[in-house]
Amino acid sequence: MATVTLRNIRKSFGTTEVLKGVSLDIADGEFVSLVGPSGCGKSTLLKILAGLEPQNSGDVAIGGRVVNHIRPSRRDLAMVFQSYALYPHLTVEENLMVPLKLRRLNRMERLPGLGHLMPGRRQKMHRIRAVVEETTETLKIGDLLARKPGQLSGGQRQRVAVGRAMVRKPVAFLMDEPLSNLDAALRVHMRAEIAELHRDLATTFVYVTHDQAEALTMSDRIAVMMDGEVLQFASPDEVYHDPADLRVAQFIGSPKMNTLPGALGSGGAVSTVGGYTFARAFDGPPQTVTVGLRPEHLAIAPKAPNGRAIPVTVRHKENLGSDFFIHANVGDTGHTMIVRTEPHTAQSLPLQGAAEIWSVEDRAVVFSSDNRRIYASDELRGIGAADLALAPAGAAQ
Amino acid sequence: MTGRAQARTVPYLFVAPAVTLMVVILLVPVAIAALLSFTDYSLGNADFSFVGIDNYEDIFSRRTYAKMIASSLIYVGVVVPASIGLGLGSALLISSLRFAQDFYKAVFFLPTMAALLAMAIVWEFMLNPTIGSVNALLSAGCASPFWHGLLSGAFLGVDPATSWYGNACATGFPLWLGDRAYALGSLCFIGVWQAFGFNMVLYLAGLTAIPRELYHAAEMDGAASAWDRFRLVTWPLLGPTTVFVVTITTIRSFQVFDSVEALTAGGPSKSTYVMMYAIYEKAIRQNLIGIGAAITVVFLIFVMAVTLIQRHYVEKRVHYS
Ligand SMILES: Nc1ncnc2c1ncn2[C@@H]1O[C@H](COP(=O)(O)OP(=O)(O)OP(=O)(O)O)[C@@H](O)[C@H]1O
Ligand SMILES: [Mg+2]
Repeated sequence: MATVTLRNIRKSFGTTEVLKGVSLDIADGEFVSLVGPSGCGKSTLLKILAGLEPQNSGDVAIGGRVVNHIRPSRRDLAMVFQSYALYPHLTVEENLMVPLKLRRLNRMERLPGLGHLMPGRRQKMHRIRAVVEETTETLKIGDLLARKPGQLSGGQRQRVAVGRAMVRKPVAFLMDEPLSNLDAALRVHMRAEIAELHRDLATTFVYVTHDQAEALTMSDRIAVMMDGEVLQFASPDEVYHDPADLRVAQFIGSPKMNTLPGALGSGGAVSTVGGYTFARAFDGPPQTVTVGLRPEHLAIAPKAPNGRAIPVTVRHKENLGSDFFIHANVGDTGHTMIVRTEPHTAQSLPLQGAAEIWSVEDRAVVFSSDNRRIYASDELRGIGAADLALAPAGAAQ
Repeated sequence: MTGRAQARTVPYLFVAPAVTLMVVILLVPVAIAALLSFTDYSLGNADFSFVGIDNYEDIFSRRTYAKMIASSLIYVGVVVPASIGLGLGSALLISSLRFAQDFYKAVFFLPTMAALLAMAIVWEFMLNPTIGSVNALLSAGCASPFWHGLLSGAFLGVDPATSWYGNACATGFPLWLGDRAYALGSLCFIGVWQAFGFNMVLYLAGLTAIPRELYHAAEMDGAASAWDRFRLVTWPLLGPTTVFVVTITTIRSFQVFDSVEALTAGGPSKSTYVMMYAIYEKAIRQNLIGIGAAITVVFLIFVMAVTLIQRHYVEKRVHYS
């Protein structure tokens, strides 16, 4: 168990800069997810942390010790690879034994054939087998021990890969999209298992994914990466309800946050399409802004109760059983909005019919033209805003 | 024909041409060779008689043929492991280079691309005892105290006369291809020189097929030394390549002919009388088709044995899915 610190990591492949100064402080025992779109540098960052890829500049520290020049095998980390990277010629049991054999048996004892004659090898192998057995029990793969990876299903392979990382009790686990090859049902199941594993082991986890649902459900904190930068590093609630950057707001949440062009007037009033004005005052000089509105923070009806609303045309109704997502066009501006609503409200909205959308409690997040957040005057910045948020029902979808 | 009967015969009609061709081109010649091996047939003679297993008895009793089998086996026994070891070694070295990979690949592959018969002329010249560059170089070393001391082991305090080099300096260097003790060794050397580039290319292809993530996994698992990674990842994953390389190299080594024909013609005193050359000499030059066919059959049995061994003992163990 250990803290993991990345300080100003930079990495280029040729002339393309893949990581542009990434810093993260990961606490001991924390479960941290790295999320971001494909190609944003998540795997590269993880490989740099593991030592499999050298950084161009910056420091990696594990447990407070800078490990820049320490080779991967000495950093005492364990990694689960996206492709699992199991040794295809070894059985499941042998695969699980590899990390222990390499670390506990000395050079002579590992020699093929001759090694078996070395004194002391038998006791060591006995202990190794005991550890492997314990691990296979935890992961429920005891009946697969004699099989080779080629004879396993994707989910079984994934467990073996996790098992191979677990047998050694490393100071931190690194996982690179371990669930991306699994079907939806198995993915949800394994998500719970990995979370449980983290609770049991209480070891630091760094978990790479491009699936925001995985990140939101499993993590203590999420680092949202884009184009080689960490845009926000905060708890799932905070990332969801209090995004620091427009790109974070758009990446996290399903369906996506609605974004509309708007203007911040003098006096802090924000208005958007259709002349809709928010009652709250925002801090900032007059400028054009982007207004972000989560689907669950909007309401829709044929006629808004207090007259202040965005007029729209209903285009499509998405039935999720418990909820409806209404897709609507804003006049003829070309903007579409998605609103979550109850089934009985949805029934009162005819397709192609006119309706009105308004913001419940003015829950809008406003961003300047350089994607930075502009806070409302009465909003707590960065910290605690999530605590004010009411039902985060849409968060885990 | 009823529809039913037709339905049953039509499939056979479709495969008939392919099967006929296969039998006529591939199986009949082998069968004829096997048949001829029990006769005393020679080309142009109208009549011949069956001689039973006389030809085979000759092969397994006459000294010439014992030498033939021995020299073939020695040639295979040297060329196969040496060319595979060198091929694998050079493939590993080349694949670890950051640049100039293509240059080394081309250079090492040259001997395989060039016809061995053509290259044999160069070797014949180089190994010529009087005007050849090999002996010229070796004897030049005798005059230099440094090289003489190094190569004869005198720098270790050994008596120069007891070492091969020191002795050769005094009594003259071998005749190589003209010397019973060195001819087969020289041919083996040329065989290795020619074959290892081919094996290297096969191994390079095998190496590129190993996923990089497996090396990363090995490194994370604690395989800190190159040897550990080789044992854990490279060698097992090259298994299918190795089986293929061993089979191909063995068969090609059993078939060695052009360098023998060009350089030694089976001599001196039958020391390089390999099977292919024996077949050629008996069946073609001396027109003793019967004995030539018998050697051919023995040759085929050797090759078949190699193939079967690889299928039964190895193939199952190196394919992992
Ligand atoms: N060895 C390499 N050589 C050159 N470019 C590379 C190399 N490895 C990665 N890249 C580039 O670096 C960028 C980041 O790659 P990386 O694998 O870290 O992305 P990622 O965030 O893990 O994406 P994904 O979610 O698709 O796995 C990509 O644009 C990729 O093309
Ligand atoms: Mg990746």
